[in-house]
Amino acid sequence: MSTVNNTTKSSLRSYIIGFVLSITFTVIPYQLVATQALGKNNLVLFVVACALIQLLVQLKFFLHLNFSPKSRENLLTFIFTAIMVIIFVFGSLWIMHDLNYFMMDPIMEQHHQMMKK
Amino acid sequence: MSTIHSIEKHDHHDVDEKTNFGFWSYIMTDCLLFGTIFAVYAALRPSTFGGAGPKELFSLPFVLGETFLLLTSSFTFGLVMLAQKENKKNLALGLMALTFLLGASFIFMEVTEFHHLIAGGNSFEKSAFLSGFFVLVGTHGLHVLCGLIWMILLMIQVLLRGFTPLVTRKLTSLSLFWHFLDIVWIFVFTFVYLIGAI
Repeated sequence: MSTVNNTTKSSLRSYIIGFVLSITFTVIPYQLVATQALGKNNLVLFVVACALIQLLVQLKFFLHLNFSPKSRENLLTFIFTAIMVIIFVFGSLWIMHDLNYFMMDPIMEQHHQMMKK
Repeated sequence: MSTIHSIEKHDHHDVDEKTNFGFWSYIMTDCLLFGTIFAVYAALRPSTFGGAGPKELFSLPFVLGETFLLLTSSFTFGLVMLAQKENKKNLALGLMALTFLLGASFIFMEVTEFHHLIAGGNSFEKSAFLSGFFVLVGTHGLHVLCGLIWMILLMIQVLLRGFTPLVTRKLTSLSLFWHFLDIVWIFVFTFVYLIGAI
């Protein structure tokens, strides 16, 4: 019974750590965006970094994904999925950006160039 | 008798692992679904058709409230799983009810936001950007709604049958699903609302 209690205690601690870290990495980017601190580009990078950190925090503390042999298959399918998502999210954005650029009306493009100057 | 018992236990363990991996695979395909919808949203975001953009339309403090609700509900569902491990049925049921209330409040806030947008003339018909927004946030909301219905059904099963191996397996699957929805929301919060407000 005491071993059950001990594992429960350590799991409880891991849930609490995960919860506190998640709240922290939600509030910090929120505050920075609300006050518009940092520059525009830095702020975007920082906010995205916070989201990725929180992804890792929740995978570890809530979904219990780790490097143990027990969750190896889950980890491998997750890595595969992450690669697929990265490929088609960035691929789509790349294609759509180029498409917008090449489909631009020549007159509009001139206007665009003038605006840039 | 003890060998039969241990074989049964081994069987359950096997089925547990298979169910866990199967459900995890489903969640990963759901990740792909959300990935495509995120890509669509990102591609359509500049196309506001002369209407208001994310900066004018969304209220950050309101969305922060939604985020806290979902985050806390993910934590309380983790506690449900701990209560299940300790075989504390009433505690688990109470925590499930709490999780349900938090999730339902989240859905209520989201519906309020949608209603507010549509009443202000910013429905999904207004621009490509808003179509993308309603599809992305709506799909997530629909998932949460399904999770809530599943939670009610499981509460009834825990109440009537207790923590049988089957009920425990279902509970584990729902916990994966619920934590996964929380993670998806973190990305909605970041890419739609926070970056939208920058």
